Amino acid sequence: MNNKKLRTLFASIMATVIVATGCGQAKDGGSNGGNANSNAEPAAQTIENLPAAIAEKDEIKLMVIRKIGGDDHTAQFLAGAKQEGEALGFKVDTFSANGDTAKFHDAIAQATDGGYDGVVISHGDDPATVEDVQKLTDKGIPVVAFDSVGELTGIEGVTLTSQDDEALAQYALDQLVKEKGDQAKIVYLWVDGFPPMVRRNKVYQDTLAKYPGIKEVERFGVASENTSVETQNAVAAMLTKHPKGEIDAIFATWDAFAIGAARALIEAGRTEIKIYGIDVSNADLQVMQEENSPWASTAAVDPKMIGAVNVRLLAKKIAGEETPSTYNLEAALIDQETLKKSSEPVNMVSLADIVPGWGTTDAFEEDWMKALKEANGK
Amino acid sequence: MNAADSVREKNDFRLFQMLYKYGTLITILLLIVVFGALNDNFLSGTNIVNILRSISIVTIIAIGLTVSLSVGGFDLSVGSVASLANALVISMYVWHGQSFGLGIAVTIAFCLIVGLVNAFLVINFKIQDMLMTLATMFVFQGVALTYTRGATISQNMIMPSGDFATGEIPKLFAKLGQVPWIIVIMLVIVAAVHLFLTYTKHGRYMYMIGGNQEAAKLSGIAVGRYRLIAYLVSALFAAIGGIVLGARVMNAEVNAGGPYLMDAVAAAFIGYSVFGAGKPNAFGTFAGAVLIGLLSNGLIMLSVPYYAMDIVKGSVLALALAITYYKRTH
Repeated sequence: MNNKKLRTLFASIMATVIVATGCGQAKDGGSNGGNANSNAEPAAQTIENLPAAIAEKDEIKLMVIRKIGGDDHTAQFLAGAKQEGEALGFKVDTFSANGDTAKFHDAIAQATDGGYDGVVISHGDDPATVEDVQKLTDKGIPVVAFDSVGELTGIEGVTLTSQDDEALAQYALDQLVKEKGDQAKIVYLWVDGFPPMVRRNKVYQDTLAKYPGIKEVERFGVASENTSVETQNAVAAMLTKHPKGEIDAIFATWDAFAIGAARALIEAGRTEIKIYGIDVSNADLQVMQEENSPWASTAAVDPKMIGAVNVRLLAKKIAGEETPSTYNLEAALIDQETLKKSSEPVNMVSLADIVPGWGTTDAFEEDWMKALKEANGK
Repeated sequence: MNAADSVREKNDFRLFQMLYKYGTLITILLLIVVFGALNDNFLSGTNIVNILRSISIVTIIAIGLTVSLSVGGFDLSVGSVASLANALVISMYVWHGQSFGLGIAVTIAFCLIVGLVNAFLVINFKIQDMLMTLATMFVFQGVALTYTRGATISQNMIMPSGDFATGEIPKLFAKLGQVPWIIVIMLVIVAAVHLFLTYTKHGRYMYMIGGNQEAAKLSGIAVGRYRLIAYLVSALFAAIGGIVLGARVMNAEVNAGGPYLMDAVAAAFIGYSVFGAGKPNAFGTFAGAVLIGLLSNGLIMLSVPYYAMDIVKGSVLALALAITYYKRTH
């Protein structure tokens, strides 16, 4: 009796699942066709030089998967990728695993069988990512990775992009030495275990070797869900340990560190200590523009542009065009002086008016992409 | 011989009784002495302010949790509610340009509705509190995320429409997150809830419900109503915690309140043993938060790497629980 009930239940569930998935697919196909009629076909007619691989597809679906999340950089990166993809008339899905490694790999596995034409992977910093990417490329799905493990370059057809971390760290440290001298006593905010962090640390170690007078007084770094507040509390404790004059500057290798440190310095009234940071977000810009803000400069690459360039590279791959195996995104230095010159409060968009070249790049923007964007009305 | 034994036993017992009653406080004192001896600046006024400031948000949220524990409940959604409050209050100012008072009022009102939802589900469906609030924890976290579209809310931010957010966070609001106000708010809340739970009829009823719900019901206490109040209070303090967090950091990061849940739980459970209460109590929770805050601050001053800090924090929690439960079963 009981068994029978169970079996009926199971059967009905299975039936529902089958019907539901079946329907879903049918619908999907239908809408794809619809889209193709309204979008791609007129575009294909008017655009010359459109690579055949792009022109003959009804709809191109991209997936952007990012391991870390919860920060402004992620939101901007994903928005940049989505915007660029949609401007080209692609469908772009985005996913952030919020730092959960297992979820991240699940999402890639799902994308492998999800009928995507291309995948962007961000912050795949563990060896398992290499296997995942291998599986993707084996299925003929092109992959562009950002800030991920170096071994990915060993896989045929994958492009590994990164912010120019050496340049970022160099900009920040040069500014520090310029303003605070080569005898500065500094606090180092850094966390191990992420490829970009390792690269930034190398520049830091080289700088210490170059200027033996620079003394590291303290170091701290934790990458958690609550990084900025934990950094804030930690720096507050350091400030009581080291009274005025014992610390000249803070080198923060990540903006979440810098923003926490800035709040701690302001709270303690120790703004004579200056912060030299890496990465930028809108919240960071607000802190940098506050009166007496200790955050002197930050070196960064526009996260929106990173997303856009990754999508362009992916589009080139889908089109069957030549792409490099690595690409470094250009860095820029944003300093407080420049921000203060602006009469209006500066945010991530108006930054482009102040820092030359910010947020715009024609890297990998082919003529057919421009034409495609025009045809799509953007 | 027999007599001697019993005397020793008595002595042992008294020693243990004392340890139980004052164990947490003795640990706090010991830590202060040790850290103070190792670092001259530890006992400076500014550092004490630092410690109190660093624990204020955890304490406020933990007090809400304590109230839900007092009726035998367990509100796991406090962290999510704090995130939600943080996002709401900052967005009220930045997105909608509301005034200081209205921003806070709307935030608290919305979080009280959240408390109502919790209470409704827990009381009416008779689902275990911890399971139900675990579910609602995810729901409210998602609501906060959806509301902010997964981005950080800050002044002058770019809206999805491409415009800039023009609202400004009022100066008065920033004061809430600064010394002395942030500490004053915490102390007032601790004192008020302590007085309420220990010295009012309603507080004692709540403890009775927490002790034995059936007995409380049979003796004519409106169990449902008190549990409803407990969840409302819990949501209220989680909301205040989120608001104060917003005032301290002046933006709303994604899921900013989430990490406070575990520290709040730790503080509340360490608090069980303070003064031998053996039950959730506001003063004990405060002592628990002080203990955690002292540890993090002192260990940073000694330049202990952060990854070792969690070991110490967890060990202290285990010790406090060991003392509490050893007493209960012996």
